[in-house]
Amino acid sequence: MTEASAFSAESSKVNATKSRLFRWLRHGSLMLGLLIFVTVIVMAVFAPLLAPYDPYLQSLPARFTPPVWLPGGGWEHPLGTDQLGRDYLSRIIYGAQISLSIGVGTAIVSGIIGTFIGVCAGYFGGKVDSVAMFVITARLAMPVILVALAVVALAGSSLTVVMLTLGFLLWDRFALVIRATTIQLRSSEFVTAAELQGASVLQIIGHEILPNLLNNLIVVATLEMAQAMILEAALSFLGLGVPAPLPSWGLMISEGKASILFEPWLITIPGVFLFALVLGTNLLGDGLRDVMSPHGRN
Amino acid sequence: MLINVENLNIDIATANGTLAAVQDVSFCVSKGETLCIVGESGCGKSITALSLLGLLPKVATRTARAMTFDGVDMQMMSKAELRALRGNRLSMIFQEPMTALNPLHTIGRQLLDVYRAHRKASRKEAKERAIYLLEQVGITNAVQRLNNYPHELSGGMRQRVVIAMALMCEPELIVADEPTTALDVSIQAELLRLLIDLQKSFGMGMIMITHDLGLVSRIADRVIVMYAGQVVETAPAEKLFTNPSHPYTRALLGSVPDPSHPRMKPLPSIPGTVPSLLNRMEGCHFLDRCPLASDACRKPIQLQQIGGNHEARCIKVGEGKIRLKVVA
Amino acid sequence: MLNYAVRRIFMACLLALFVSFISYSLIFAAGDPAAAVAGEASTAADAERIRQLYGFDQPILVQYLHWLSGVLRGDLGTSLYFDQPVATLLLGRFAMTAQLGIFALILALVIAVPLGVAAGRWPNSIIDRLALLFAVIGQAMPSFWFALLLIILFSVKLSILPASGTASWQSFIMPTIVLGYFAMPAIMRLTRSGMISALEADYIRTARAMGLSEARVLFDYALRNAALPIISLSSAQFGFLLAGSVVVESVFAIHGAGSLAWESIARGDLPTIQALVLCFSLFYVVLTLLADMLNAMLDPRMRSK
Repeated sequence: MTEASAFSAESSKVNATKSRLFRWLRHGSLMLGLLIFVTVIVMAVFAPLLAPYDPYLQSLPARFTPPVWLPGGGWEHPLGTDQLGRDYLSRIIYGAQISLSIGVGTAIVSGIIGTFIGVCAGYFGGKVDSVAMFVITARLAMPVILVALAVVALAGSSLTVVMLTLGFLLWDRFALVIRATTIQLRSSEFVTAAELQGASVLQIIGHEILPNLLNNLIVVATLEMAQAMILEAALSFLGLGVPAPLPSWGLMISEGKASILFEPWLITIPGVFLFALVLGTNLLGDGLRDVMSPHGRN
Repeated sequence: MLINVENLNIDIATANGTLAAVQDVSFCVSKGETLCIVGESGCGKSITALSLLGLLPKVATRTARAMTFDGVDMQMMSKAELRALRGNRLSMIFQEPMTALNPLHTIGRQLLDVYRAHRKASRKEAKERAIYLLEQVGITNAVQRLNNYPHELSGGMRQRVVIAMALMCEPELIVADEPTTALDVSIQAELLRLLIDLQKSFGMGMIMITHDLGLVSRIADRVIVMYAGQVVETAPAEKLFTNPSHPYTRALLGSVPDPSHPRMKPLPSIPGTVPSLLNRMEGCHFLDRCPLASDACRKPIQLQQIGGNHEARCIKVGEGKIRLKVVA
Repeated sequence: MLNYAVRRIFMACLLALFVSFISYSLIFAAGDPAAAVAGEASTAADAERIRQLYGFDQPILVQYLHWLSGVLRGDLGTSLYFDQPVATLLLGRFAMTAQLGIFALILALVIAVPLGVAAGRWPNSIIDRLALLFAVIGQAMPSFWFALLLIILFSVKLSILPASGTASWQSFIMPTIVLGYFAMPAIMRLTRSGMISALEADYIRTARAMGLSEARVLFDYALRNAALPIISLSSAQFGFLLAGSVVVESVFAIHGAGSLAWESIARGDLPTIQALVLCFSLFYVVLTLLADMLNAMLDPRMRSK
């Protein structure tokens, strides 16, 4: 390579990085999703610093204090207090920890299961693929909420049980996407080249296939996190998810249900946070798919 | 005169800028006349055809100094007026018979839809017309064929159906965009003969888009040779073949496989590649590939009259009998 | 076609068997069924007696086969709570849930399909953006929260709709909206992308070149082609929607299969839970089977196979 062409290759690489960054920044909904997602991460990580009160501290005289924008509310409890007088803002902040850990934990468990099934199906094809597709269809036929409710109820509700249950139920999208991508990769030239060089199946999957699945894995994991967070909230809302007194947003909505007539903000506030987090995570996932797809890269 | 187009320009907006796909193309076709537009893929000939029917994709914009059909300005037509024209007085045959028909409707249904879109006709009349045309395009068992779905027919059969569909309403002008390219060589000749016979017996004007010069020599009355969005030569067919004047035309003629060509010797081809149309070029578009190119060719070049009805966009017309380079 | 149908039905049966076995064992593996049946106030001896009485001490496969042979004879077991055959209990409850599900699916199709057609016909237009916004919000909206918001607005603040029950047709409005909105985003997006790719197809260009009217091109030629995957998706969504009724029915206090499921889980009524999971899975399997059959009938390319 001559000096001049080396230089132009270098500068085009810089340009490529720049234009990719630009595309990320220009993608409005991706940025919005990222902003929401990062905000919730900050809430979760720095909860002890950010929360003005202990989220479990009860104060019966101060119960049902309205949030600051309603008559009777004050800056002492910006989001008010619940039926036990616990500071709602502090509970919301700590609640971010639950949603996020459920999201991440479920995505990891289901990601491992789904990737395993998807890679096997896509790489080996034939009978293996037929069996895998059968298992995926069977999984889709199972009513997720119902099975999750039953399993959590029988196994005893805790954060870990909910996480594992959802992880074992939500791998279908991983499996389908990874399978499709693996089929594409399987027929690509670099896999054929590796095969011709005598690489073993495990080497090919480990060195050629898995690294190239990363983009898809990140996108599906993000979307699956949103799914898991919404399901955790639903389970907790039904009283069979994360146990009280943990400040799960779903559980908070459930507890606020009794006060729907006079204190509807007990329902709307945690719901807004839940909605925003799921929306942000979905936007992040959709946006990542847009900017990472080879179609958009050109 | 059936259709008259003057200075047609088509711009396509792409992510990397505006592409001048068609630049100042002019032509006209009369009843019973055949015009062939010749060029390599990407030279703008197909998009010219689509623009005649107002079927350009959204990213493309069309401007023309004049564009009339039977004396009526097509640029002033409303969408409804244009739609009433399409498939009725002005029809089109596409390149890909495999995908040109709706897979979910029977061919009878699709033929009838076209007829009934333009004629106040009963189902029975439309059906009779469809059967008549299927027979005309050489389909046996026309009555039963009406109930077939496209996937039940071979490629050649489907293209016959597409031709019948284009002829349903007795169009005065038919635009055929490489109608046989996608088919087997054995069927190509037969279908072309059919098309030409039908054109003669119905007295239609025809614009045939093709890159097959052998075909052009057999059917064309007039020929337009396009290169990189521009007309480089236009002439009555016999003049073009006896006196090809633009170096590109000559190169094209030189690259037609000749049956007497010695076996195992490389076929002649034109060296170089077609320039990108993203940046508007000042001079001759064929500059980089032309054996006669000189600095004078970098200035804008107009179509120049060579003889009666014969024009070429070259300042070196008549210079040196070039010998075509044979590139392996 | 017949060949395909037979093979597809055989697969559906196999699938139903497999799913029922997995669900059955999953719920058993999750905890000690004897303890669940005996209740919280029971002693270890009570649990042991129940274990033997119900056969919980036998291998799971034996129990499953025993249960399955009952199911095949139409005997879904006896509810521990209501002390009556589960089959009779389920019949009325499922009628309610299916009714609600059909309303919701109709609503979803009536809104999502035209919206998807418009969005696909004019991509990146205002209507497309609004449709996308509508879908994105729907995907992020927890259905139980959406249900409560509707109650707060229409029952508490405006008092124009009943907050719960099934006493009048007005009671079905909010549950239908909540369940329907749940199914809309996926249907809308698929309709949109299906229309976009159908409108790019060569046969649409042919239809336009032949001067067919825009309505015919859009609805008869493009939508019909885009409709095949919509049918498959709608059937799957209907299955999900029925399962999603667990949440919606509990919020609106509707006595359907969903709320029965929730109550039975809370009560540890194992035979009822097993039967419900089986029924919901079977619904899904049968629905997707029907959709595949319908697709095969509508698509001449499949039909002649």
